Amino acid sequence: MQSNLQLNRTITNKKVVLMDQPHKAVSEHDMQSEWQQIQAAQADPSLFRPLYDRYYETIFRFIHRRTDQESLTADICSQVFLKAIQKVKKYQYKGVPFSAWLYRIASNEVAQHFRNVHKNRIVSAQDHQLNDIIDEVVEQKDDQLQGMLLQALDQLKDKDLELIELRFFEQRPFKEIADILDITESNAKVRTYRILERLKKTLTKTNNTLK
Amino acid sequence: MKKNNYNWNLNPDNLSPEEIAKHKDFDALLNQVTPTAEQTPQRAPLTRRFYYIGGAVAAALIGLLFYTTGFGTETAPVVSFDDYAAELPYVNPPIDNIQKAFNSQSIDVNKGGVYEYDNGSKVTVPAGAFTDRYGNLAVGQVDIKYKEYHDYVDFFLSGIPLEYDSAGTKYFLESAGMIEIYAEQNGERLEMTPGKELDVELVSTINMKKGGPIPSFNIYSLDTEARNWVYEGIDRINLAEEPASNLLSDEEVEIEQEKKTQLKGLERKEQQQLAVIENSLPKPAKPFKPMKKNGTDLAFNFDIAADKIKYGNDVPTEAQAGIRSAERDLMKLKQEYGNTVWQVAPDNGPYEKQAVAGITWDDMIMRHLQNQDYELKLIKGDQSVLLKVNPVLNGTDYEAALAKFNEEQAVYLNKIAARTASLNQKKAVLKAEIDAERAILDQEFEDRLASLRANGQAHRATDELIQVKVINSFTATSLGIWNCDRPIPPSIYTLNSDFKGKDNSKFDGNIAYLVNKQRNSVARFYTQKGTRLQFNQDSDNLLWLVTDENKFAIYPPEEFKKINTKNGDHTFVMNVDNRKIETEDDIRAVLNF
Repeated sequence: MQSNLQLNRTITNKKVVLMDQPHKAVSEHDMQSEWQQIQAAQADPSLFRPLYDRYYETIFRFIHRRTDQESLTADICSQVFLKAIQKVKKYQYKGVPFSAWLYRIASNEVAQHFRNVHKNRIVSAQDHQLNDIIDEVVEQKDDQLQGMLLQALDQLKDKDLELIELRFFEQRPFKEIADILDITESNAKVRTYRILERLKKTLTKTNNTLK
Repeated sequence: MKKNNYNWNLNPDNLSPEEIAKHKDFDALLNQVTPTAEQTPQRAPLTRRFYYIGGAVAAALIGLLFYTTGFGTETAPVVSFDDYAAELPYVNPPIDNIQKAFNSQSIDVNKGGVYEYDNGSKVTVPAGAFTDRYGNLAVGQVDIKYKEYHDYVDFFLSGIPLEYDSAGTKYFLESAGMIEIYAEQNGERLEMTPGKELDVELVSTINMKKGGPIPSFNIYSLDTEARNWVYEGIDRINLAEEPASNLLSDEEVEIEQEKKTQLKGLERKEQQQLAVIENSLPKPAKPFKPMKKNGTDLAFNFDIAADKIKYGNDVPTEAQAGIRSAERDLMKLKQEYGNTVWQVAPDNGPYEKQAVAGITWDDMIMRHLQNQDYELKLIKGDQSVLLKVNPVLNGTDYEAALAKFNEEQAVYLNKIAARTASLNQKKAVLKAEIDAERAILDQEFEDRLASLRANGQAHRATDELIQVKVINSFTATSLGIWNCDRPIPPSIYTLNSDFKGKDNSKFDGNIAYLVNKQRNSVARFYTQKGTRLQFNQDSDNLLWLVTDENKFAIYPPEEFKKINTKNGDHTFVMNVDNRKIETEDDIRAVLNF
């Protein structure tokens, strides 16, 4: 992707404020009820069905955003749930939604698939989501910024892009991101903040080069 | 052009729920996980083998069973433990006269409070926690009856069941500790006031795998009406002490130590920087507040030249500097306002005023105590008197000094406020810097630990079990029995069992108790020919029952190891221990393994 950005004004420093967006969080009560279902499934795999029914669509969509192919997604999704049933006996409840564990398995399965086929993985994003990032790092918008941002995002390491993906492209709160990535919430925030700072510097540098 | 690292898919179409649903197939998934009937292991129990025998033979066997039971012969239908126990009290202590005693504490229920027990367990009782059975709030003194159950002997003696029925599936519960708690007033049991709760911190020990994570437990309350445990929530379980290094891998220990060292270094740096900040702005000099001669206490007029002041041998050099500073203030006062007199301090204590005033004293020693208190020693020959004195001013001298002091005090207070504001600003900047450094430090160590986990180097769990002390925290919304538990998966081996003594005497119609050393639980079985007993041969197991003569008949761990589980049948030949059983200690001696 090439960008012929020409800005008419200097990108000034802007204080980045990371706000939690309203999101349907899993309540403690729901997690505890779910834990009982998990314990039942640990004793009898056939009792995994309610969990499968609850999370199948969510996990399918998670994978589909990363593959953009329906049949491939279905295959990987089956793999994810097969591994989940096989490993559920080792699952321990730690006050974190069960979905976070499933997302981790799904993320690993997707990564493994693309390693096996030696291809770049897919990253899906909407225009307005890219603009949300631009709003975080730049004061004044410009049509060319999106292209520049994509270039900058493309240079991120996989772990850093994953954070951006979960936060901006999938609109997840930091608590859920932390649960999925198995890090603390403050780490998730600090790392996201640093990535945005780097993006800001990159966009500023690119803009100054083009002027 | 730079090579792309990712394939970007902008504004993709979303699949509909129906499109996704067509890919769901749980049954196909389950078939990949569980074996089908054809894959059933060959060592199926005897009863299931009937399924594979020809129909005519099966019918003949059924006919034989009907014939024998019709004539009342020895063969009887197998009675399940549940059926047997249904006829008994739900909580059924096997030995009535050997029971753990309640710990009793009297509390003022109007105030509530936190009650601690010898082992560190705590119960927090809010005010107004109890009502009588008519719903009237209990007031005044209430007796809290409390006891704990921790191991298989406790569970056995209590008669509290550890079977749990969850949605029709039977489990045994492995316990991390149990409590039984009641409130009584005048011998009557009280109830919990609706909306009130007890906060419980139960100290116990649990088994966990060395290097593994802390196991998770749930909280259950015993519903004696419904005859089942009720799931109440998650046990907030934490180690009672710092995790021993043997719970972590070597690399984790190294990282933890490094992190502690660096955090301590950061703390020291913070303290040093705070001291530098504190010293960066000198404290303004506090103005000297004059005191007024009151005209009632004795006052002395000394003409003291600062360079003629003598200090006692016990006055340290640095104190002398302070005294000189105070003396300079006094000299300044004297210069400005004429005579400064020394007045006996209000807190001097009783003294003979006339005796002191009526003597011409030969010598005096002045010693600074603190602030404007001085010790004055008046000497005449062998006679001396000690007085605490303050420097005071008289009349207009005092008024002028006070006015000047008030001006200087206002300036002083402004300087203090400005200094404090400036220091606080610097301290806030320092705090932000230190917090940021701490956050970076935390993240670096998190990343290193994450890297260890990714490489499989963290928490190398082994099969070795260790015991750790934990605190189980939960909220009890009612009085009674509360348990920190988790359901145990079904044991691997099932035997059709029979029980007899070494003299071939039968042990039918008893309750047998089975303990797996790896699990803190007790399973109960009804003893008869054909009892289906489940156990884990990979662990140490102990089986016992209480004979009609109140003796313990034991099947020890070493005998369990010899059981041929392929048979599907086993006769437990129990060894009767003839030791006298009178106390809990006697039982522990017999059941020790």
